[in-house]
Amino acid sequence: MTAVPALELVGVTKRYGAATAVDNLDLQVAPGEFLTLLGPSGSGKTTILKIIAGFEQADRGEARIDGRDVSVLSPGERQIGVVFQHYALFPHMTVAGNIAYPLRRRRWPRPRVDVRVAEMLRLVRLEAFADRYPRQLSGGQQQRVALARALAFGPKLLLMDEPLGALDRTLRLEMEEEIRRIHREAGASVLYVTHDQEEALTLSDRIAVMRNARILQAGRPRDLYERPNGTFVAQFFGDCNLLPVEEVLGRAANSARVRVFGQDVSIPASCSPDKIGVANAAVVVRPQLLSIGAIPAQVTVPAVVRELLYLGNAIRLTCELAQARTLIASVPAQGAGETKVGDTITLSWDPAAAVLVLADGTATTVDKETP
Amino acid sequence: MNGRALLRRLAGLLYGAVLIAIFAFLTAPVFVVTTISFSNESFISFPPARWGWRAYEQLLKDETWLQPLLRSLELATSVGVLSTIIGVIAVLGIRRTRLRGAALWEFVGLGPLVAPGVAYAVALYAFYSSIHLLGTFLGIVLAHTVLALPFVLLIVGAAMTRVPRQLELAAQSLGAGRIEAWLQITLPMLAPAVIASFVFSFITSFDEAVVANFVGDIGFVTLPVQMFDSVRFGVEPVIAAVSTSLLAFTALFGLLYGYARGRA
Repeated sequence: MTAVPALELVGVTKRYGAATAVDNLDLQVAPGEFLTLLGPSGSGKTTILKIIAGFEQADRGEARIDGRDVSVLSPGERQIGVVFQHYALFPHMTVAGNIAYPLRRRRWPRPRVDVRVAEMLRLVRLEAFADRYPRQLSGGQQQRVALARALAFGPKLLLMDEPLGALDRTLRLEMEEEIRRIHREAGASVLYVTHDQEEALTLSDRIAVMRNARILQAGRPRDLYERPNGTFVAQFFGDCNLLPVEEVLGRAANSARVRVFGQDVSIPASCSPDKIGVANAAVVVRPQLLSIGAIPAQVTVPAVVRELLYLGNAIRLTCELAQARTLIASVPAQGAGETKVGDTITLSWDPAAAVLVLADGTATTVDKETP
Repeated sequence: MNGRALLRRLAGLLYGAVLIAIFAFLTAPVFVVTTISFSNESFISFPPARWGWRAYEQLLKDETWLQPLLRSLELATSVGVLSTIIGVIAVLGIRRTRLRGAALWEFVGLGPLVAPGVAYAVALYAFYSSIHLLGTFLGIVLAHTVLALPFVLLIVGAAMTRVPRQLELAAQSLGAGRIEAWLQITLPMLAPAVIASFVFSFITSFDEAVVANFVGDIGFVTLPVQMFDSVRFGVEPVIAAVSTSLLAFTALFGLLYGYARGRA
């Protein structure tokens, strides 16, 4: 990347008493990029946002915006748009008043303010609501006002803290599209925080998965979904089967030859294959990778259907294998034929589409001090 | 009608009677003093034999009453303004900064609520006499401000819990300084509580007699103090007129407070 990052975090650390909220974190957001910090609550993502916005001071490290360290600047001087989970609209001001607020603070002349407010109302499609008060708007409309207000002064960086958390599902999907469109049109870089992996997959150019104050993996949504670097990331993005490695038979540049279900196959690894062992690795097989029937050159396993969920476009099968292990398969509805609960079927999966990852789930110790 | 229904009916009647009795006991004095204030006689009698405005004319003409009334109004207004300003700033400091020992400061501010009034008055008398504040306007304003401050802390403090801190952060991220955010966002949202605080402080000072008696000394006689003094030498209808005026003022401010709360 040759351009100066819109946002760069270098070794940012923040402690609250004995608890470490952000641990020596590095992160870059490219100009115009939509990056999502994804993680369970308490993983430190909101603290990062607060440090960038200037609501909190980092104990160590730097936050740079356009290459400039902003640690000494007050929140107002940083020229960052912030959208809060509960909108934080000013209840005693109209929609237009809210959007004009950052412009008044910057002493824009009145006519210019009016033009800009109209422009922002058009951007979020709320032209007819200029004179309403926030309490007269729905949740989705309030969130759009919050967006318009945060973007009004033309910040190059927009921070969004779980902005859709308070909305119901239908509205959330609608707002996701809206946010994508506004991001495209406004052209600002976005750092977005959420714990919802679907939201992250839909919205982001890049996702950074956080856990215990650190970033576990950062990359394009597809990379994270298809090539997670550990069991935590694999499991975070929806259903996945984690199959134990029975024996490691050989290692190549980017893959390892392992025994799974008694069959010897070569599976791509998301880490250096040298690290793969029997005790510390697992094979990630997404449910939709499985299909019914024996397919040559694939791993096959006999299974008994224990549960069958019809989902319209797909059928979700919970299958029992030998030794009381289970596999979840998602197959196209028409491909499932007359499969019933209790049937014995053969499941196949392509080892080249699976991925070997290191186990970092619950077994990992939480606080490893870096010297 | 069976026995249980009869019993219930009786209980209902008794309940009504008790309610009326309580209400009558609370309002009768107000009714009596208001009635007496419209007496044209030179001594107190109820009901008055002759009606008229004599007591009120005397109140407005007589320097002994007019002076203390104006003085008390001036005093109560000053106390209202001062304690509200100090209280709002204190609440902002206690709730919205990283002030060390915030809880302790709040406790200190609420102290006058539980401190015994007479003892405090005596202490102030001794203290003021040594720093020459006895009988001065400033001295009594300061003393009453201390007494009124707990109300402001409680009212504004309660209202502050309903102003999300996020709003201030939002304002700051949009380009406001911290003080600007307080003035433009927090304060307007606290407006009803600020009005209520003023009303409570005003009333606290306006009918306070004990501290005013001690620290006002002979140099600064407020209306309640003058009333105390006057009943010591004999009761005239004019005192009823003064009481009625006081009640009217308090009721007016009470209504103002009710209006402010209704808007909150």
